[in-house]
Amino acid sequence: MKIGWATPLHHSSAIGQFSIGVTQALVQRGVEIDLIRTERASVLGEAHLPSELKIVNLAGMSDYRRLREYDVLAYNIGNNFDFHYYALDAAMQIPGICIFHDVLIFNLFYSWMVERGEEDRAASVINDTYGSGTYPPLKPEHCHVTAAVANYSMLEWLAARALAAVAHGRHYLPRLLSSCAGPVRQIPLAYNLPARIGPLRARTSADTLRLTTIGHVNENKLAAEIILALGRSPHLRQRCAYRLVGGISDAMRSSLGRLAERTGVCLHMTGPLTRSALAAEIDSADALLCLRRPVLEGASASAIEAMLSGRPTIVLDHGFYQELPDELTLKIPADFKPYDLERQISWLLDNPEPSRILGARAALWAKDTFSFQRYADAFLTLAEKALEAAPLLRLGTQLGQELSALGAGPDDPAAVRIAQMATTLFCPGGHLCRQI
Amino acid sequence: MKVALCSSFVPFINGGGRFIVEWLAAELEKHGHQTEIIWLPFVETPDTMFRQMMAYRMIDLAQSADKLIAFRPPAYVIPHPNKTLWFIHHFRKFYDLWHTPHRPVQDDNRGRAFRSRLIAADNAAIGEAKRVFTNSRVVSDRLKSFNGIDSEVLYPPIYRPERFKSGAYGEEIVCVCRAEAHKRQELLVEAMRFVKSGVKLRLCGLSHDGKYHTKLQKIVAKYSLQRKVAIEHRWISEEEKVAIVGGALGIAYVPFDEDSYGYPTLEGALAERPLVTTHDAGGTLEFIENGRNGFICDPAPESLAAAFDALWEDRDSAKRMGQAARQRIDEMRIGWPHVVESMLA
Amino acid sequence: MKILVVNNMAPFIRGGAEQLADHLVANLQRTKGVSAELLRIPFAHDPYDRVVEEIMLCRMMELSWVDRVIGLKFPAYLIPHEHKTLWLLHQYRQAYDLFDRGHSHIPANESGNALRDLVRTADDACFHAAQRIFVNSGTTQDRLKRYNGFSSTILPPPLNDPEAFTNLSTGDYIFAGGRVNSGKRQHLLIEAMKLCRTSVRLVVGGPPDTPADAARLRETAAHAGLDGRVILDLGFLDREKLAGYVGNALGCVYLPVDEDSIGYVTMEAFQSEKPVLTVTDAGGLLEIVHDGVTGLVVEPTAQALANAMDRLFLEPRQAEKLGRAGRDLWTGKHITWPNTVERLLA
Repeated sequence: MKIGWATPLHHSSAIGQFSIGVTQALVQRGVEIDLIRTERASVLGEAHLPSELKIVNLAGMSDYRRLREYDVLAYNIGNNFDFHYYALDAAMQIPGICIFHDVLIFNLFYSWMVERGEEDRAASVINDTYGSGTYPPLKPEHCHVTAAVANYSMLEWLAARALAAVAHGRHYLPRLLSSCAGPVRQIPLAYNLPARIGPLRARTSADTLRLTTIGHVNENKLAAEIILALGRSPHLRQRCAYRLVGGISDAMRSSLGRLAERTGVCLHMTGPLTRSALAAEIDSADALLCLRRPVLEGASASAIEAMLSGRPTIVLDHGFYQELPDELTLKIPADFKPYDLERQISWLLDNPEPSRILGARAALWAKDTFSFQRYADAFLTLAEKALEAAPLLRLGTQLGQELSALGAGPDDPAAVRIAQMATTLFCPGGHLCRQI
Repeated sequence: MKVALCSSFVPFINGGGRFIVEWLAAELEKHGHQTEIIWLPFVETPDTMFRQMMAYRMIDLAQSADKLIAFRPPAYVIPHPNKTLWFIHHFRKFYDLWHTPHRPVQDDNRGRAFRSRLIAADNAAIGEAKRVFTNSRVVSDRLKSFNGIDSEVLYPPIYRPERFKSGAYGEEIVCVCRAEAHKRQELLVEAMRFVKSGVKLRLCGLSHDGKYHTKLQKIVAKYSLQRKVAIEHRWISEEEKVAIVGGALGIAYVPFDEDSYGYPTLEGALAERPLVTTHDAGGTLEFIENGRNGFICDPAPESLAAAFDALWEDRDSAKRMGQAARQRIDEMRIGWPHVVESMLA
Repeated sequence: MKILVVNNMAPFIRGGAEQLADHLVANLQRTKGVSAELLRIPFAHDPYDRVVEEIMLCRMMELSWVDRVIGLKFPAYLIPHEHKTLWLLHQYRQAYDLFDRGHSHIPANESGNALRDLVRTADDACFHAAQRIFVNSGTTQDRLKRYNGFSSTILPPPLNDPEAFTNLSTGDYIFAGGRVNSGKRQHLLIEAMKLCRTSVRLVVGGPPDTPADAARLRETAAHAGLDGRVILDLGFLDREKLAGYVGNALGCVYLPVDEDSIGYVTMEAFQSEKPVLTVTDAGGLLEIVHDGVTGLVVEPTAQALANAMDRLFLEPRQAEKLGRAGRDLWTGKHITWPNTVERLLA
């Protein structure tokens, strides 16, 4: 089987890191594979992740016909426009397996429409997908990102055009199953630590507890809420140090800095780091905070890194994080009350040894679950199913195109009759396109 | 009864495949039925085959016809509650020719997926039929092995078989069919180098681009066979054919691995002529029994020459074999009454 | 050049359009450098919403080895081909004028409107892609312009076998040929016969659309009690018999309602030098049947028709004169198969 693996390889792309690991595992299984870069030309020149595989750039390619040489195309889809523009552009022309890293791909979609000069049509595409009146939202609260995730994430729009789809968590699997005509599979995201990380330090109950949050600092990481929660308890304020590890805007830096000063919390913000510096940060942490609201990603690379590192990990109990075992993470109810965080941190402070054991167990479980080997095996099974389903999906696409050229949508009674007719003829029993 | 006879065709490419449909329609009309022949186009390209099959699937003949008889693929995907197949061949490139250079897609995951969907669709559509007939044992065997579908062989007769009359047993071995490489008339011409008796050979038939005819003529010239071999490179009329076949010494038909016994075999048998074929000719072997109604030779000029000489040397035996060939038609129940009865059963 | 004529097929039913297609193919084949074949795609009219499948199946068929397509009827003409000439006999009127007048089997509701739009969308795309569009009549031309916005050229179908139709004698009967159904108003002729004051006879000869049409006409004739003055020869007439009926008639009569085109009945009459009697609402044939010039055009009433038939009977020389003028007018139009083929291939 020859696979074209479409992904960004930009040095700062977590999806790129993931792709390097998975493609290595696929190569070990005898698969012929090329890496196909999907970044826009503007970021293509920046440093990229190394790979020994053949690398093809989609930027500047006049048409995508040459992609047809692959048996299977895997498109890694994330919401970052600069990184994934060409993945979307090619996936719309030559359908493949879409790997949905994010639950929200509205930004990718919208920017893509703008880039194509079709901004005017964006609203009608959204409303065709999600029902008329969805966009633009009439109520201000529906403009919020939480509403976007729920109402017009555009997952369904792209999944409907994919040969097959991968979810990295169960929390958005039903959305793909309901929209993608081909096989759909949940595969746990595979991820590695940035570098070897030592065991959790032995800590006495007198030591300062070093709490760390990894990743680009933005609203949905709840940094402000965490600082407030630490600050409201004199006990925690005294005993904890909080580090925000990752890129940060100047505005965010100064507002969080003022907040920490006001609440008396010991806060350090590193700014963007190299992989090795990141590893050092994880190494020196006593626990990692992975609180996200809303959940925008299919699976959290930082939560996986946190668990792999053997550091106890605190998460909000929703989305992907809800799917992590209760006994291997410290969970806070999704509505986030400051005292819920206080309780978990207090437990860490008072229980150094149980914390260490929890972290160690989590590391074992995460290593087994989020493994590139398992990912590669599951992906290959899906790819075979997708190949099997491909002729029928192509027929479905052709029939759909004919019907829509006549102005008949997918809910038209004739479309339903014809779909039924195609299934009974080519796929008696209809077993091909179900979840596997 | 209103009977719709449906088959696929390629406009402007006339093949023998059309006769069986037209002849059956004429016979059904004779029996007082109303018929409508429906020829639908089909292009065997993998990119669009499935959507073309869907086009066939959408055709409604259930309201207008009491019965549907389907012939070439994919006519049988047309739905009808009273559907009978006279199955002539598969989409062979996806079936028995899959492991040959004729295969139109790669034998990879993608190609195999396409093939398996095609076979699934054939299974479903053929499975809907009330009765499935084929034109030969070979095709029945393929239906069984590829699709797991049982069928009955219903040998195709020719139109107005009573036209063929038995005349004197002359000097010529006759072969009337298109002059094409896979019909291998060159074997017959080459055989004439090795005959010892006064036997002669007559070939009648057109080649589609003239190339094969040129090749045959070169062989004639090379071995100076002009006095022994007559080649008529034209489409001879039915009347001429009746006369030529009816006065022949024997009929030769030596195609390579064909599915059915072929009309030349049947025409020869109707005129009570002994039949000469080769053991790699395919369908002819269902009809011809070596030594009883003809000769089954090696596909080699010398072997064929010996058979020609044998017919020349012993006319009585040639006549007996010719009569046995005529009997063989009845043994195999090759005739319109049986076809009409089977089709309407 | 390989030309495929594409028509639709109502299985087991043959009418004028089928004959036209057969003759078109035969005449194309007679043209130097042309080989022609006919493709007939089955069409099922009911239930009304099947029209989507009918359109889809035609659009999904594929042709190879064909240089040109000449499309005649909906939806068969939708079959894809890059070089398509259309010769429209009529559109799918159920989605056009019949729909607007409430005479369509497509219901006048939301789903019916959607189907109507779908038919028009398919048609528009096909008309747009066609190399040339010919129509059989002004009526078809007007509808095409009004509903779809496409211009077209009128190309009336010629008489298929003009040599068969000659003036044999001037008889004592009016011949009413063509299909028999209530729309062609043969019953009105029988009513008229009751009012005739002369011994003029009426011969109705042609295929009834349904057995009920035949039965109704027979009953009307029996009730009229015209003892032998009305002869009904209902069924498919072979060409020779038909030419005999026309060639020995005093005149021919044809009473369609708002017909699209001149019609074969008129062409056969004029080819045989017979005057044509028709009515003021007959439609397309009024292009060529002019009152007192090539025939008689009267109000569509039994009395007016009776007067006209009496007049033809009483003035046979005048009838012959009208017939000759009809023939001149008709043949002067040069509507022949060779000319038609030439224009189609231009």
